[in-house]
Amino acid sequence: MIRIQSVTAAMLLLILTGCSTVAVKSVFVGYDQQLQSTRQLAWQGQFDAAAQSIELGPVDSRNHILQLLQQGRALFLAQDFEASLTRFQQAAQVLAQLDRQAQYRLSQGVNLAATTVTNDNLIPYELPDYERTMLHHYLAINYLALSRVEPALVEVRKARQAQLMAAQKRQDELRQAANEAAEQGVIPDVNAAFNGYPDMSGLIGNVKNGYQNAYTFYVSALLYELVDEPNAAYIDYKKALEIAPDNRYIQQRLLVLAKRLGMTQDLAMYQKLFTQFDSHSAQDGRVVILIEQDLVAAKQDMHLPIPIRSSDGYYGVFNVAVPVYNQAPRRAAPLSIYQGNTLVAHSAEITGITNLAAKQLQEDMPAMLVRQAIRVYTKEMVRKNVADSAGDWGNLLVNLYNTLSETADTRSWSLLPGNVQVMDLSLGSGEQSLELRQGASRLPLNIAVAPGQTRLLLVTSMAGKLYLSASN
Amino acid sequence: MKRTALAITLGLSVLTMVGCSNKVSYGDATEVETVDVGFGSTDLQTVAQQMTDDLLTFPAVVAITAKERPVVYVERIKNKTSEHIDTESITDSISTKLLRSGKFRFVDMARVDSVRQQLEFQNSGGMVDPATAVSFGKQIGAQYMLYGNLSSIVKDNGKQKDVYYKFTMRLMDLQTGILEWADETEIRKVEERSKFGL
Repeated sequence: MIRIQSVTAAMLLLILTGCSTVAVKSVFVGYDQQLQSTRQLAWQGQFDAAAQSIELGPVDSRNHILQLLQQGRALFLAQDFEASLTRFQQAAQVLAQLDRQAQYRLSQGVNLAATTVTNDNLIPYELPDYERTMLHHYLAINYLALSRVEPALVEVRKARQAQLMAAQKRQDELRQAANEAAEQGVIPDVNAAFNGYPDMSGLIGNVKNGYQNAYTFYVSALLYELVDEPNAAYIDYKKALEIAPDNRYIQQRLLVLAKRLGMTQDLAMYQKLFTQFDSHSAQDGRVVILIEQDLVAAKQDMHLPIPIRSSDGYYGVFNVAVPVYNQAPRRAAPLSIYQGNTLVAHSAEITGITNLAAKQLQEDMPAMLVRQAIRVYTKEMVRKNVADSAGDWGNLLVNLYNTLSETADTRSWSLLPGNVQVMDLSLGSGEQSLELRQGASRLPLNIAVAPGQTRLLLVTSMAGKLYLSASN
Repeated sequence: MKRTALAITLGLSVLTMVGCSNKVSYGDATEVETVDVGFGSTDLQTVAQQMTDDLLTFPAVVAITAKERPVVYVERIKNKTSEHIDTESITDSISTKLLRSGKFRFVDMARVDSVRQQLEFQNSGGMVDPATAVSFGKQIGAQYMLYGNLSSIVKDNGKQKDVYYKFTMRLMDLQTGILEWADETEIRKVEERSKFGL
């Protein structure tokens, strides 16, 4: 009988680790550490090498979709838009498949059962809402870089839908986790644990929710303007302004469009709120520069004491591993654009992706803590059973395994930019030579400006260096 | 105990083997397809069929085509949905059906494209501008232009997904800019996500 049990245990372990070294690695090593070298390469501007350093893994592996996103982003930075587009399309396909699956899945249940004796790194990666939006966002940008405007518009519509859905499904998760805990008779003191959790408010800033980002609305508005649908553009600029009310470029554009579309009430309100500082003439062309700066903060691993009581009277304080953004808040470093030696304009921040990520994690934390509590409790029960049946050696082994496998789920799309800034310039027609500056870095831009037309440029600012990533 | 374990193993391996064998078969091309709520073959066929039927029986169009076979060119169907749809395939189906009715003639798209390039005709724009369309039509020798929109409204709450498609088409006289015919087709599809599954 004991033998059958041990065989079952061995088989279970085999299933859990999926027989591959990759899985074993993710039981014991957090994702942040696994991806550190890739991030380092991107940070140094070696985007090709960064893209190559990402292993995609088999299609049905847990991190497949995440690796597709990482590679898609690295390829985009390396300016290989076709390849980047393909990766993102694959990711979108996987995502659509996941979305269409049944609400409660048997195989998912098996996975969750597996994680109760290992850790959350073994659950298939589930995209947080802001990453979902960014996937469609980069699909749109890639299509645009390849001059395919109509599919780009399809993607911004999908991005909007993703943001709508995110708003609806809030809170559901916490309720589910709490129910699960109650069923298993585990009563964790989440509030007590929270006291030991770092305050992320510095990183979050004044972000109200983790799923709406002004950058995506801004790009969407730009695209609608490109296809001459100012009405749709106006709506998206308004949404962008709601999220980033201080961005003067959005304010200016709203003033221009409100006037053109005859929105007299809005116009009167905007004129009271914002001062208009440039006047577009028909001879001018428009140059919009999107600046993606640095890398989003990576999740880190931390151990948090959590008191747990069980329905059969057991009480103990356990150490659970949870992800956290523990970095010092970084302010966006502004860029300026010069024409010769005259300053033309400064950039203005539109979205802090790190803020979104931190906000999202903060929102997810209560549910995550409950799940972790169930998990450590189950692990402890396994240890107790082994100690009773297999003696000291078994106890020691399980104890060692429990300690080593207590790793937080630090997976995230960590090649996203840290923050995004914009510039919207009105320039005289003809060949314009401009220079973008950040600190000591210079990026010369020679742009052919035609009257009434818009040029769109995407600049990457990584570790203080500037790269022209895409232009149309 | 051993026997039960054996039976379970055997059962599992049978399951795995069954899961591995693929089957290929031919289906009917006009069969109703309901794999998901996305725009599919049935929608394409419905749209093309309804549009051509309506166009060919519309009194004004019957009058135009009574004595001659007017030359038409297909501008394009603008995709305003949140799905990547090959709208050229829809226009292909419609133009083929119209051509085969023997009532219309069409301008070769290769010629349309070359003139388009010469004139740097902006085809990414929103509305079709009648003024530019007239001069463009003259250049390629067409009397009528067929164009349209495909738009959609999608609602999804995670449990149910509802998609509504509206397909609009118009036939414009390129000399006068007058619309001779217009029609729209609506399609609604609902998908319920199952509660339990593998």
